[in-house]
Amino acid sequence: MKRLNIALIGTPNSGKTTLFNALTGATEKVGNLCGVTVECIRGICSFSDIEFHIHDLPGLYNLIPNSPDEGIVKDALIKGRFDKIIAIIDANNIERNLFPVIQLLEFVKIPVILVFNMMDEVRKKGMMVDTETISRILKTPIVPAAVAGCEGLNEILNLLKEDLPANSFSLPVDPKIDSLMTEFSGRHQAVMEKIPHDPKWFLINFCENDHYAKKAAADSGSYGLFETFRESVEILALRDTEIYFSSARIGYIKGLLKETVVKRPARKNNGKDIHDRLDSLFIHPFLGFLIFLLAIFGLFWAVFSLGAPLQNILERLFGLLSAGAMKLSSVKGIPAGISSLLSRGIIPGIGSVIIFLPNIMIMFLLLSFLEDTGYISRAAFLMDKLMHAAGLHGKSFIPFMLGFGCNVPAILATRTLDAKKDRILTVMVMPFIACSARLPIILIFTSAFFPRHKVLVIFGLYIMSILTAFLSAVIFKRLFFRKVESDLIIELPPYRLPKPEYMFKEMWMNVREFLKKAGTIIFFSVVIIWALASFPGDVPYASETTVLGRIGHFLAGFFTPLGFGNWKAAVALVTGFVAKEQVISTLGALISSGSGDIIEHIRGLFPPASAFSFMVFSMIYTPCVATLAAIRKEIGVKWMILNAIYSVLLAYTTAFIVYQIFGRVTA
Amino acid sequence: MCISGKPRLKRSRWNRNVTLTEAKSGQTVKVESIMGGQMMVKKAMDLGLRPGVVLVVVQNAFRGQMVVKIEDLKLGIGRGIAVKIVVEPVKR
Ligand SMILES: Nc1nc2c(ncn2[C@@H]2O[C@H](COP(=O)(O)OP(=O)(O)OP(=O)(O)O)[C@@H](O)[C@H]2O)c(=O)[nH]1
Ligand SMILES: [Mg+2]
Repeated sequence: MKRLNIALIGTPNSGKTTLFNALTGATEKVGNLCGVTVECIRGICSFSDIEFHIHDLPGLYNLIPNSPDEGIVKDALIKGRFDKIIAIIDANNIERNLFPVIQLLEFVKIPVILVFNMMDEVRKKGMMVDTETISRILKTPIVPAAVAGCEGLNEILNLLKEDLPANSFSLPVDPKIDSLMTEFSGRHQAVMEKIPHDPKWFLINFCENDHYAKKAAADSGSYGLFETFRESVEILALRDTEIYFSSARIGYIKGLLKETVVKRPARKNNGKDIHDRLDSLFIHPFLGFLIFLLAIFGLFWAVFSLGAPLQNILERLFGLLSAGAMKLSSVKGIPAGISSLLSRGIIPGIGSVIIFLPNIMIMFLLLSFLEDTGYISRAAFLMDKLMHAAGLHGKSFIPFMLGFGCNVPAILATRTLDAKKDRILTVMVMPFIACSARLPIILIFTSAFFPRHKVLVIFGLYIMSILTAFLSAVIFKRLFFRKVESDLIIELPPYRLPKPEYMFKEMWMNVREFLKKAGTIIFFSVVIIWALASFPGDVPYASETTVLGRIGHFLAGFFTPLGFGNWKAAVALVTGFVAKEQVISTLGALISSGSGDIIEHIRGLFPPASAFSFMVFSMIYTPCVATLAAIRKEIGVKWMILNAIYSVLLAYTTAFIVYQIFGRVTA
Repeated sequence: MCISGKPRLKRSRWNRNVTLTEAKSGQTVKVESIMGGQMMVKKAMDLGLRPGVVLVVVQNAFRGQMVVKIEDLKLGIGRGIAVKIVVEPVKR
């Protein structure tokens, strides 16, 4: 079978991942905001005896990158060996979307297929695009498409398998500058040979201050030569070369679109469409804020209340299972160990976490709803001042929201931030955002100890998690980067009706991850915990004289000042380092004697003040292994170590203070 | 760094230019120049805020972040960037 490498390139939010999913059958994350995809994703699509290896890349506005996610695209283009490229643009804004595509055409010498996406929306607006003429001028095939509705997919596939002529586009520039470039590359042939790119493209890129080009120029050993060239272009262009070339490109695009794109001129309602009217509510300085608070309140309310009935059913189910497993011990032929493993270890351990699956499902469903409608960018816009007050960038708000689901993708999502310092700051405080793995802890403890003030305590804990993040941001900023001021500039995408099937697919992906975790890491740790708690066999299960009891006793000493010097709590916290769900699964395996629900048992284990302190501690202390790995990957091992130490210290002090205050009050 | 639409020309008429922050909600303005650090200017240009572009101010209230609309594209802009964008009012 023939194998072809295909890259998907285009501006953010233009539908690259939607097309990728449609072609490969994958369920990669799609969302109505810029910067959903932040790494190169591969997938395979077989069509008429050809195996297409498709690479979905992050979106970018300019092939001269600002942020790391854009850098990934440039790297892929330079290093990757692609056979064809699909360049996607959102036809709602052809002018701006064409910019990186023109840059792409200047660079690559392989066939490029242009996809004008979102034609459904374009038609609705009454806009007309003459793709044939544009295609003729650019000498590239263009497919008008609406990939979300599978329109244009067949044309794209046909073009993919066809033999297309290689792209031969060249940006028209001032003849004087053009001849300067030709002359330069002719005169310095030896130098230009060291550079494995088209001379004209390379010179333009150098003049545009591209890092990559500058580095290649320095590597060739003749940096000065290029710099002199740049200066002579500057003299001819009468302005900064960077501006000159981007203006040339924009001028070219404007000329191209002048005759080929027709917009419907006058619109009803003072030119205000539905999006404007929605925006006059959602981004209103006061109303918008109010709506935002309500939305967040609604989100958490739905997670906790709508999930409750299902959660009860699951709880009962696991109770029955556990009771059934107990009875196994009286059946002949089954060793007592098996019954104990099931009824004391696995079922209560895994069960205590799985019962929260409904809540977690609702959480992910609603988060993807906020993303797919396009609201989340508005929320980030509204929060800008608040985020600024904490020293964070307004855009950091989007990763924060994702962090309520899971911190790991949220940390990756910070790649869309331009300034390195903003990114470090956001990543460093991300673990304080209470992810869905901490939800079981919150729910079990509030139901056990604060049944009457449940809502209040839950909200209090979430607010605490946000405040911890903010305060830590202030501290880190003071300590490490005094002066960073990067202001917000963010695209507010059009409102779109989310497709329920997408939302459910995405939720299912998250649920699958969760179940996988429950079936692997959590399962094995529960088995290990059970084994250690049953050994030696002549003492009762999970008593202080078991191996685990002894280990736990040693650990518990550290936590005595915080009010939970209980060995089971200590063990639970240590296992929680692997995955935060395990705080609960371990407790489940250690305290439920095979009957009754975990809430009853937990109530017996902690006095209220210690329970509160335990909750606070488990919300703040060291991020789980996966999060630490993500931190290391994004900002380096030093920051990761600092993060681990800082969060333990912070958790310890906060829990200590909470215990002291709360202990006095209740006493 | 400062980039402007007409680089080597001094404006001869009276100067009607204001910063974007002074434009009112609903007003249509044309971007004259953008000042600021190189990164910021490039980012603004990439998002379509370039000299010569005509935009509508959608929201500018209470000294907060602003919203502008270029063609069909809405941008949220922090005040810190908006003060660095010089615009000229356009009559419709
Ligand atoms: N109306 C319409 N919406 C579309 C179409 N294609 C994609 N969308 C929507 O556009 C939004 C962005 O789609 P994505 O596929 O995530 O875009 P992307 O280019 O991968 O974005 P980044 O990963 O952020 O660069 C989603 O809300 C899609 O549902 C289309 O043909 N028509
Ligand atoms: Mg994507």
